[in-house]
Amino acid sequence: MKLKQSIAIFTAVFFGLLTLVALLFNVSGLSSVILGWASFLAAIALILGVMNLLLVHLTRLFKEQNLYSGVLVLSILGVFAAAVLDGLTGSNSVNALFNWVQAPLEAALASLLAVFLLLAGVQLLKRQHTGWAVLFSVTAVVMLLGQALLTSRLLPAGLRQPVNQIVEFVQNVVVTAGLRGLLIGVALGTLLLSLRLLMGVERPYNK
Amino acid sequence: MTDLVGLIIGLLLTLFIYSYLIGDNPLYRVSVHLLVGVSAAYAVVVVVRQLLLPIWQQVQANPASPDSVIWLVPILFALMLLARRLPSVSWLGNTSLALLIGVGAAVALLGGLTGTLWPQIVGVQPATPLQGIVVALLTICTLLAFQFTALRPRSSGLWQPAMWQRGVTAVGRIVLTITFGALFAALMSTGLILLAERLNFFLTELVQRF
Repeated sequence: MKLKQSIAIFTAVFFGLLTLVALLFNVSGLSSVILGWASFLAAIALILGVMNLLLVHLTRLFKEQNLYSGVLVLSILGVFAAAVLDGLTGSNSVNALFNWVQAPLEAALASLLAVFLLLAGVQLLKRQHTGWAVLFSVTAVVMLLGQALLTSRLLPAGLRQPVNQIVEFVQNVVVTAGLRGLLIGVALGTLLLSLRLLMGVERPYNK
Repeated sequence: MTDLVGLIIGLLLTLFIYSYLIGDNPLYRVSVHLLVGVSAAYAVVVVVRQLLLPIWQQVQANPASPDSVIWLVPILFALMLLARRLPSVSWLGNTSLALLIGVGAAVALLGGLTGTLWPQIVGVQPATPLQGIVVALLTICTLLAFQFTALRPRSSGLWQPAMWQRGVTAVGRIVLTITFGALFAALMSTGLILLAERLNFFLTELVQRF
């Protein structure tokens, strides 16, 4: 193994185990120092990433005359300019930009989720004529209709209790078990991958 | 006046996004590029203001104190991260990434153990004991649904799952499919609520102002 690779492996294992020991035995001074260093490095990595994004789109703007890249470059520079202006004048331009541009765009994209999901559900039924697709769609319809009917006055009083029982059974028994199984599976996977990283078996930083 | 400008900008951008419903178009693309740029730059501004500036002020206030000197270590690692742009010394950047990954793995290990695994196992509060047993059995079936290999070869010599294993896997897959269906329904109702909220917000604000 090359020395260059060994240094990276040693760093990962050393700082990983040090963090683990500090957190396990509640050595608050040590853990806060190491987590502070990691946060600092992550912040620098984020800044470098955004600078790289800016460079890539500047290149695309001037070499390919891509106007969308121009919009992206202008938006990045605009926020940076607003931040500098805030620092000089004490105004609150960055928050105004967030409230005027980012928040409405994010909310609009999130609200389109219902339409996208509906289209995806229809596509699923069109392309896959399997029992699994039918079970998936029936569950989705039952849950949507059940929740909607339970809160409306359209449902006759006699049907209210059976519908409620079906929705509660699906939510409290089947979905709880399914989600718990998924979460335990994800946690076991995380533990295994973390252990492999801490033992230096997995080395994504040397690729 | 500034609120009105903000409202109109927000309304226009929302309409740009909704224009995707009639197909991919330049207005939608412009708004998405705008979102990426503003989000990325906003993240940088937040990180600089909340994390880097306080460190800088602390170091500037008392440069010789041990609390300040200790920051030389991550600064060194940050410089090594910058070296990734230079091919001859790009391997130095791997060391900084290794530190991040090592610390992240340790935090994820403890987080997964104490934040997810343990609470999911002990934090069960079923309405009845029978419900608890059913949930536990279905959870085990869900986990075993991801067992794709046989435990031992069959008499034919082929590594095929045993009948009980296939039964458990089928039950697990049914539970998973129902779970995904219910999650799909929950996401869809959330999306519908957000859509109604957005429309209601703009309609109310515009009616109040005009």
